[in-house]
Amino acid sequence: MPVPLELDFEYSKRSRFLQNINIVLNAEKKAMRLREFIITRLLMTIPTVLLLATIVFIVMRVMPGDPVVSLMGSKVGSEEQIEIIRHALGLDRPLHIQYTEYIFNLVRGDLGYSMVRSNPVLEEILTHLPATLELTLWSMALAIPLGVYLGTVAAKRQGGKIDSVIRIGALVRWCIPVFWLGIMLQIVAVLYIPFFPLSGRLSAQITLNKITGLYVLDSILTGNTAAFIDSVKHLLLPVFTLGTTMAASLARLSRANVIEVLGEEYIKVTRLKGCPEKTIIQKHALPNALIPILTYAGLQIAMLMGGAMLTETTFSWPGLGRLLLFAIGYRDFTLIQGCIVFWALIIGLVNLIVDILYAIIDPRVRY
Amino acid sequence: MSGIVKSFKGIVKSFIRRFAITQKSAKILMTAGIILFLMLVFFYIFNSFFGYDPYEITRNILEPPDSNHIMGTDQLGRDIFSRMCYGTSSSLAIALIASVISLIIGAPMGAVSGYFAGPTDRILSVIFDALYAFPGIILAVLIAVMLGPGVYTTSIAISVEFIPQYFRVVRGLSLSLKERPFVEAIKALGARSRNLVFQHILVYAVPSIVALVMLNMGSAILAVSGLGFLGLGLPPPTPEWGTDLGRGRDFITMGVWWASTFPGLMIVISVVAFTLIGEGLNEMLKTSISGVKM
Amino acid sequence: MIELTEYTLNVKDLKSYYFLPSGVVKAVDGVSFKIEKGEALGVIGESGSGKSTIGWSVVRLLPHPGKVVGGEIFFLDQNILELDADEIRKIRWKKISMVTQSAMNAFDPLMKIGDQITEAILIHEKVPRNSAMKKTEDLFQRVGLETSRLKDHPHELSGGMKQRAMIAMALACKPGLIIADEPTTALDVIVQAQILRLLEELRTSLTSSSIMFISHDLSVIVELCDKILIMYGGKMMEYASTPTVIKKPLHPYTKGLLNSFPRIEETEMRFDSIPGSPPDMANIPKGCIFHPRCKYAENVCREHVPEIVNVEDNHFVACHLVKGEIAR
Repeated sequence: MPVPLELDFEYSKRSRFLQNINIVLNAEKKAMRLREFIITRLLMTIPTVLLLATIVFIVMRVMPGDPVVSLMGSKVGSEEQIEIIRHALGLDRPLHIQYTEYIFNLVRGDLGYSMVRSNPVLEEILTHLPATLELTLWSMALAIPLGVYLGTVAAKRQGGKIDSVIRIGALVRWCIPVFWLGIMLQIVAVLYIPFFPLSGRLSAQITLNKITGLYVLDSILTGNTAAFIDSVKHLLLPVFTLGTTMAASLARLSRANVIEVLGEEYIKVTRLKGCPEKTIIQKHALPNALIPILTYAGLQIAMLMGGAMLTETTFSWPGLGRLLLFAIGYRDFTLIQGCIVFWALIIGLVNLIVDILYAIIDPRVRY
Repeated sequence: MSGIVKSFKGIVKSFIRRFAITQKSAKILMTAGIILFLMLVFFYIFNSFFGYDPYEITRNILEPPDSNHIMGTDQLGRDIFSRMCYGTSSSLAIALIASVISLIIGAPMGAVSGYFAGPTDRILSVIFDALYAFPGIILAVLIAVMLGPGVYTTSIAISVEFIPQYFRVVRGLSLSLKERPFVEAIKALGARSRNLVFQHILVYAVPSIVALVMLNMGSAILAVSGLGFLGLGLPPPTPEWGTDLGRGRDFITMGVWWASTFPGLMIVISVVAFTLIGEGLNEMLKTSISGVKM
Repeated sequence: MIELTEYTLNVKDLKSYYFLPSGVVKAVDGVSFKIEKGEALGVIGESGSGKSTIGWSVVRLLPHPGKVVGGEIFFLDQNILELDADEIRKIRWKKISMVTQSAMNAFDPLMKIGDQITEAILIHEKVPRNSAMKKTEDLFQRVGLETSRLKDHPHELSGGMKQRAMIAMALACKPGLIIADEPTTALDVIVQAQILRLLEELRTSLTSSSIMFISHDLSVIVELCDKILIMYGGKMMEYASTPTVIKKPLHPYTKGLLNSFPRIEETEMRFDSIPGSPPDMANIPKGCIFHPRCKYAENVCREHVPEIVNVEDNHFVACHLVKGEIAR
């Protein structure tokens, strides 16, 4: 709001020159605000991630029951065995020492060692990360345009037949378990269309130089046509399954948001101005409606990264979801903890990006 | 106390009135949902009297659907249709218990948090927001593993995911109701005002909570079957849609499509039923007294 | 035929109803008036009297369950109700613009305010962007706003500034008719006075534009308008030039309104209000819609709807007790 510089000029007879200076200064002010915002937000991510990591630490040790005993599960071990495991995991030390070492390691990027897989946790995670990343990105690439488009169409024709069809479609689609849809598609593939591979990322006979771990990208980078086709084929069913699931909720959200925005006063005014309906939707309604969708999409991406457990299990997709499931199944304490902490980090990162994008798009946000 | 009863009656009356005014579309949704639900109940009852024993192991394994077994048999020769009907009770029971648990924990906390605002509210909101952001599946899986298989443990595992939703809804209502004149009136009238206000808030929240419960039943059923699919949840040989679906997976490559298709179908039907009812209720709640969509 | 082109706006027996699930609300039920070039008409009434509905009917943007069901609206020589969607869109803003009640939310929060005004110009005129922006600058200065504010977003402006911006936007295409729907209601008193002063200035300099000023505040209308139309429950009560309304009000409602405002000249401190409350529009009373609150009501008022009578020289009244003769 009013700043000293402005007040000075307000009451004098302004010349063009002075007005121009003011305009430049105002722009300068705004650019600084955005930059400041980004820096502030970046700095805020660090304590947020630390907080989440702390919560994971507490939860892992405070869960009902002795972590070691529940880790042993049904395997009954002698007191000695339990103690050995407890010592190996460092769980017999006082909590504050455990915590300091935990945080210290975290900062150095050391997430511990997985006893079951005989590998550092971080390495296991990084090996499985690209698979989940690829699945997530492609699924959202399908889900966002599809969902937003359908939602907008439904909102434009609110109350009409198309609206009802889209709403019911999205509702029913939401009710379909993701794993069942995957299996149905697999059944169709087995019985009728052998074209679609049922599981995995790559057929056994294909060789690929893995640079990034994102097979489609890698096959393009190495000019490997066979691998490109094969990796895309393997993505088809999982991406369709996961993508349409996300699209259903995005469609409902978009519809609700666009309807709300279309009811706003400024849309009425834009219509009063004689603006054609198409322009109203594209220039005014969508940008305003997309803001909460952005947050939601970001949240979804973060959740998918944490573990599209069900989809990955259905398609035997070697991603983080399956890794976590494995860790839980084998009661691998450090691996479970590491996966969740890593996921907390991703959440922090994704939220940061979303917030920054939000600030760029919506001028009201920058504090 | 009579004040609470009166306001409850008032809520019910306005509920009925709103129902009369509600648009046809919402009524159709709710009716369709209720019909589906009744269908499931009917088949369950029908099957208990006339159907096969879902636990009975026979030698007719993996038979495709025919006049004897309309949904075929599974890998242990058990009649799938029968298992599907029995599965209704497991899924619905767990979903209901889970919803009730989340309701009992989330709603009162939401009311308190919204009413008192201030630092308590902020802390609680942060905690529940963090919980809300956590992917439900991971939470449910973790807790299910820690607590082991069983009806109640599974219910608890699932309920945690929904607590933040009740918290949020009731907190929102609480925040807006707190400003209303009738709250001041109650306060002016007596010492035990705080309890009264909470009770009034909770009563006022009943319609929204009912709608939320319906919707959550749908999510809960999806969650139960998800856990079953992963091999957690109810122990075999209890018939459960998700578990049976997961087991049926192993035989797809042999062309056995029925073992996985029908459990999924049951899941979809039941989730659709509750979601329709929930959505219908939501539509009804959004309609203002004059009948214009708000 | 000659009669039609004389008037900027000629409304005949306009009827606009809202079709709600709970019943039909006759928001505007048989209203007629004319606005000449350069003239300002004030439409006054309580909330729910249908005054805003008139405005929205003229631009054909009645919100959803509302529809114009009868009557004619002539803008110059065009019947607005008979135009197709594209034609009416072209008329909007270029020929008829509007200043809405709450400018607080009248602007797209994501766009700079200057751009939104420029948009209004560019929709209707094929001019290069630069010259449109120059025009916007001039408009800004005209309404008393700093041109440095053109690059600001709506949330950075105060309510009064946004109202000025809205007025600037309304003037952008030099429309023949400007509809001002309660432009000062949402503002605090000091800002209200500023905006009114602005409107007065503009009125004197804008000899070619007519204004329809809708408000519930009689004092404001009396200051600015040449003619006054008094609405109640969707019906016209009285319609005459401002001096006539003030000095020779005939309708009991008008008299009640005038008495509700304290006047500086009078030495007596008492003023009346009109007893009762506005009618439930879903359930309007039989006969004259004002009779439940009228102290002169007689049997005929309870039974029959009064006709609109031209009492003398374009002084229209709808009241049984005033028929061709000056009564009470």
